[in-house]
Amino acid sequence: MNIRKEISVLLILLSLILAFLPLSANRSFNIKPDRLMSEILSLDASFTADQVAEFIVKEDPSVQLIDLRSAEDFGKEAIPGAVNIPYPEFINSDPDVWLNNKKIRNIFYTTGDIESDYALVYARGMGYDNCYVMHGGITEWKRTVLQTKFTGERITARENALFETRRRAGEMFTELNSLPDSLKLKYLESRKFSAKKLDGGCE
Amino acid sequence: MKLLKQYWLVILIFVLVVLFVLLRTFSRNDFRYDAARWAEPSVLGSNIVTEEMIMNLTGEILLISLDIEAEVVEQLEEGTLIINPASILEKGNLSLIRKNKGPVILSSDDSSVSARVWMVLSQMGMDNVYILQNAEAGISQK
Repeated sequence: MNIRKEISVLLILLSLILAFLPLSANRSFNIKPDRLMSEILSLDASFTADQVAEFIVKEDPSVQLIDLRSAEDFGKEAIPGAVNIPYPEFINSDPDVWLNNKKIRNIFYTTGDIESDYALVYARGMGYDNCYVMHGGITEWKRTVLQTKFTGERITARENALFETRRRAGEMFTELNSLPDSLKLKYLESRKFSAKKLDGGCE
Repeated sequence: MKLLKQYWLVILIFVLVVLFVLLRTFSRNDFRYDAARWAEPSVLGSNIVTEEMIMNLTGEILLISLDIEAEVVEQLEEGTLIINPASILEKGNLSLIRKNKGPVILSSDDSSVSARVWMVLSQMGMDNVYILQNAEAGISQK
């Protein structure tokens, strides 16, 4: 009887602690600050516009581009294959919905850099080490891929491959963004990340 | 006294759990609970200041220039430091930021570095840290 009483008292006290714990405790950074800092300052956390162009051209299934701009900006112009999660929504939702597939490399981009960098730290801090940024954002992507021009006299095989990738990625970008509004809207709607978790079972 | 003797084991476990929770919640060397709350200024854009806005800030301003080529902490003049971002989490540097009675402003040639360091410091509970908008590099919220 005594043991029962003791266990009951302990459970009541522990439940009191639980009651006062912040509800969002599950959405807190869970790695050591030093480790996070070295990860995010490493060059390995970023991809260049050329690397992203190559992923797009090869339709690499292990890469997911995440556009953190507003839905309006995404509607005007988007990189082929990207999904849209506006930054405020990304911060205020459970990131597990977007980032839980560890086999996928998630690459964030915005217009410039700053919000994708916040998102990188936010995601890595929560243990999603499959997250990266595209350095320079869509501005740099357009500058590198769309405005590319070879000015030399002789082109090496390597340069040729690079320019071919840029040309193909540029074409895909132009094709998508020059679609009639109704078609483009349909395509982009289909690329809007659906924040639903599967509950299991069949419907 | 009788109660203490009767429930000493329960009380001991409870105190240990409370200590652990308090340590996790208020530890200054780790991240704080509720990441979204600490990231909120980045959503609102209230963590970015311009040079004009600095003039209107109150308290002691500490300007930290994040330079990846800096070897150690260098003091340029009073209230201005150059720190290698990789060493900003060293005890002495964190102490400087925490003890500063006013805004701490991060500046860097590469806006990515300031943004990343800001998010780390913010998640450690430092709510007096801001990013200096670099007009030339064109930091913007977009």
